[in-house]
Amino acid sequence: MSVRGAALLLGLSLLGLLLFSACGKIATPEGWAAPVAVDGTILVSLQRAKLSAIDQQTHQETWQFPPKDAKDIDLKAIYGTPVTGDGRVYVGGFDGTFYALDLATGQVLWQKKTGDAIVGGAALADGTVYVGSSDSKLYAFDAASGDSRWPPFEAQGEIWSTPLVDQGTVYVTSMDKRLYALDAATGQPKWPKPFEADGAIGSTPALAGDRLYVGALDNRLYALDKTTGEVAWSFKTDNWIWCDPLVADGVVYVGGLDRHVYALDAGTGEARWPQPFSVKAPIRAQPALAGGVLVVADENGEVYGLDPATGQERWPSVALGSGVLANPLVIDNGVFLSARNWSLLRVDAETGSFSQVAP
Amino acid sequence: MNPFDLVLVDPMTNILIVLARVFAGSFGVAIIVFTLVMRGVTFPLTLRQIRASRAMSAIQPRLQEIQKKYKDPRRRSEETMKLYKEAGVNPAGCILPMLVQFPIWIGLYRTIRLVLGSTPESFIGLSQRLYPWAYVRQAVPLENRFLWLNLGQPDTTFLLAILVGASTWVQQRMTTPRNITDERQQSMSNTMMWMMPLMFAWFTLTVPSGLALYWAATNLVGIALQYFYMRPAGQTWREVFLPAPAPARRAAPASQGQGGGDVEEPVAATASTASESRSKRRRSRGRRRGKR
Repeated sequence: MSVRGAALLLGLSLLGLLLFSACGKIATPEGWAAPVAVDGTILVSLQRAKLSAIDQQTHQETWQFPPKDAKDIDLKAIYGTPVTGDGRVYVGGFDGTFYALDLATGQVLWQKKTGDAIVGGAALADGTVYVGSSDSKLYAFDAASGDSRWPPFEAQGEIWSTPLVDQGTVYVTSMDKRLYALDAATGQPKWPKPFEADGAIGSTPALAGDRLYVGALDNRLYALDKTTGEVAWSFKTDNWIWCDPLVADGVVYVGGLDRHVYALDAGTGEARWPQPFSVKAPIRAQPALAGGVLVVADENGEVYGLDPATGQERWPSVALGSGVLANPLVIDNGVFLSARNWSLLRVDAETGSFSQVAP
Repeated sequence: MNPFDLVLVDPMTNILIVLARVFAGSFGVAIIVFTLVMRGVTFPLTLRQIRASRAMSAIQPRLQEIQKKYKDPRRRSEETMKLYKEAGVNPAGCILPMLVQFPIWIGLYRTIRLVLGSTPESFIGLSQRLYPWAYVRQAVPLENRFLWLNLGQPDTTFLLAILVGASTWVQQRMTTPRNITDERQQSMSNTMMWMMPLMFAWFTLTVPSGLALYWAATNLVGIALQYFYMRPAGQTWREVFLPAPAPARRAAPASQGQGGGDVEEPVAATASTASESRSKRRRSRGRRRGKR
């Protein structure tokens, strides 16, 4: 090869590598923790990997976790919705650490390290807090002390959903395609065998009556018998379902990554609307019912107000200007949405008008 | 949608997921199999690169003569092109396989970021890229562990960086002519010899290890292909690692190849040999046509 050829090759190599390096860095986790209201305070993530407590009336921040001066705590991101009880806040970080905080001050009461990132939220029942981790384990901690109640239950894949506790049973889904029913007191399986879908399960199940409703990455929404785990019915969509279903008045509402909102009869799985409602982008955030309107937000931040009975629009969709992946919080007629640009917005369910609450 | 994604990233994503599912969900094995497939697909180009590289090497003394003889750049360029034509050499043939690799790297980089879902958000993006085949859709999430690596994250052990750097160096060593007679050319060749491996080793520390695994695998396959199919006659492994012979102070116009390196034939002979062999091929084709 001539000098010119070698130089050309070298130059092209450098150009290519420069182009290649410009493709972007390793993806950074953002988080999709839903806002929570408790005792006049809203807990919301207004910065990546930070949880803020804001006064519901004044919208002023009362504390932030981790505090600005805490250099040794880095949650990396917060995906799980915080859960509160007995003056405490429980929240998991993408760094794999689970924290119990003082609700009044945000001070750490206790913390536990899991083996991998925490993506799901926690469930609190009878003095025990349950949380799953990407290390495939479901942990049960004493809510007051953080001591383990039982050895972690080990699934075959990451647990990215929030456990659901009902009448002494913990229901938890896993990316191993299964939904497990465990004894809340011992962590032992309750069903002869876990329910197994054809795809991973990232969404949190919803419970209504004696049925569990859960979406999976095999494009289906399943209705299961809560005592046996047997499938009552399933409904096929055109893409994964990562949205937590909402059950109200005998209807299951769920959004799909196929950009549709479905309303299904909870008993039979039959479609309640003539056709699913089409939106502009995939839906991960759970639909919300407020003031008799079904409010749905998509990944691009377009918000729709629908008649829950017919699926017709009650008001023209509004664009928030930033996408929504986190589940909504309903207070009276207001639907609070945590947008990807780290703002908290309130959408009036009756009119569709919205305003920024924080920051 | 971005045309680059539509044409390259999406098919690559779906192919890799299919491969991973075929190989028990291992994305690492899928990357290695994908590498073999890509090497197979680009084999004619690789062959062309090696041949072009050898032909370029063979006409070097003649090129140097032209450089010396013609001071007018235009005339020099004309004579150079004439020589290329005469010897059947296409300088672009050396570069084309390298250029083909770039979109593959970029596509693979984006695919790994999508598929291995190092963040939950990336899964939402992935859902929009998968073809509507249950076999693909139900395969996710994939196992991101392979050997000691988390394929979605850079390798922090330096082992992969060393492997990538070393294999790049060996491959460079095997493809670079050993008996370069020109001092400037030798200097450039030496710079390339060290710079490329160091650059790739450094990149390995910053990109997802799945991509670096592709580099390591493609280098190792390239070394094997080079050694078993395209090495100069008589070259041994030992000679690959031996230092290159020092360049002559002056270009030897008709130096015979030394040691086991690329054979550097006399210029006139090389050019004529190349044209003769082309004439022979043409005559042979003509005879075959005649027989038909």
